[in-house]
Amino acid sequence: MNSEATPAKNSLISASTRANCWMLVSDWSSIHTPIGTGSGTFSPAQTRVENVTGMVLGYGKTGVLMNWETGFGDFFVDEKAEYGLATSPLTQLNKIQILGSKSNCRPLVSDVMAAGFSGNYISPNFGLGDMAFLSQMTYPQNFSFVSLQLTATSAAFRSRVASLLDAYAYFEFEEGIEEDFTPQVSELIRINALETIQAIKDEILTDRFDPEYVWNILRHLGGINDPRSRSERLLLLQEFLTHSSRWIRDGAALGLILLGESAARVSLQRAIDRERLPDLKADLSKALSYLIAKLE
Amino acid sequence: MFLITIKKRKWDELLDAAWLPKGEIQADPLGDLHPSEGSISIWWVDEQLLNLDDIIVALALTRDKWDIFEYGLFDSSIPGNLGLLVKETIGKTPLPQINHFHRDLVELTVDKYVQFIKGIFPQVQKERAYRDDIWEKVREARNKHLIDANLLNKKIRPLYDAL
Repeated sequence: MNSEATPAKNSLISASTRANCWMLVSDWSSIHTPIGTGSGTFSPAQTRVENVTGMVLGYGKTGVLMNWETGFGDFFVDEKAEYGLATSPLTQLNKIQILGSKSNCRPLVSDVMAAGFSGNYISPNFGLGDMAFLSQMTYPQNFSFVSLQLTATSAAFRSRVASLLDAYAYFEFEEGIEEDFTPQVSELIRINALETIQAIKDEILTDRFDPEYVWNILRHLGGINDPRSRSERLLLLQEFLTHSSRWIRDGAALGLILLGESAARVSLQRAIDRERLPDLKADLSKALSYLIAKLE
Repeated sequence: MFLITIKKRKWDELLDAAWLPKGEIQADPLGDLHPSEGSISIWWVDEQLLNLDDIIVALALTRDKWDIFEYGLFDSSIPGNLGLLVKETIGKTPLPQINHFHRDLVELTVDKYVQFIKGIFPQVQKERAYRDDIWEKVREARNKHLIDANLLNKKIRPLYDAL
């Protein structure tokens, strides 16, 4: 990251009073590189606020981040000229990273508090009390980089996933008919793939859903167009190939061929070898043949 | 032969289900065919399966989307043998030349319906077609000028046009 970067005129920070400062807010779950200070690689969290289009409509208005690669949603600027994430369900992300930078800038903790986060925050670095404290602090004139991590519990987000699954648990999925379920799952994965996929897995493992419903969920998961979460979805689908329900094993296989990962070939072959139900064994074999043909 | 659309898993032979008495069938298929007004929609398929792909295309194109298309084939003598009535009715698909293959199994009572399920269950040939294969069949049907694009629903039409 280049800490000397200058925000564009239309950036979020330029809408605030701290014209010489800039900050990054990103979905922590998208960051696979440990946070450091100073220069370093933060991919894919490099997206700076100035790269975002259509984000701020004005004080007290809500804008939508259209091009934020890290997957955040709404942004807002409130009447106190503070800014942060809007209090929408999108703020129920499990971890938020806030980076303040450049000399003569205070870290932007107060901005975060003004954003009105809900839920409980646990952090290796900061709690709410720490945030309040930090917001009063004056930092050395020459500090080059500050990294703050706010780690919300994932409970809020997981609860959102569970609610969605519950809402459709008794929905009659008519084969081939478009419904609202798939886009909603896709949206949750777009926001926080890791947390969504883990939550879906945990919810399925509670065994409270009809296996036919899970069959639909797994197929949808395989078909979602989200390259970033392919490996996580692959793992989940592979895991469910060993489930005790034939519907769920089948759904996992169908999800895998929709996902189209070559790594699924081995696990599908193992599933075929294990399968004792002749009808399903035949379907798994066809699924593998189809996948192989698709990959060629 | 006759074709019915099914969910394959509902028609599995559950060899390892301890709760299921030997020789009996789980109730799942009863919930799969959705009789309405005492009738079930079926399609007549040529013994050599010459019109099978076109029927699959016709039915798939009535949907909004598909990753799979599942169907069952059973001997066309079964309904007659069970005393069930088959009526010729014109199908409603975007393949006008295929629609005359449509039939209805009519005047079904609960008893007759159960009889029908029990009659076809042991021998129904259960099949599943996958997305890319279906699109390939759609392409072929288009090349044979079987598809009336004006009858496609608005979700499928853009995909069809992009073929």
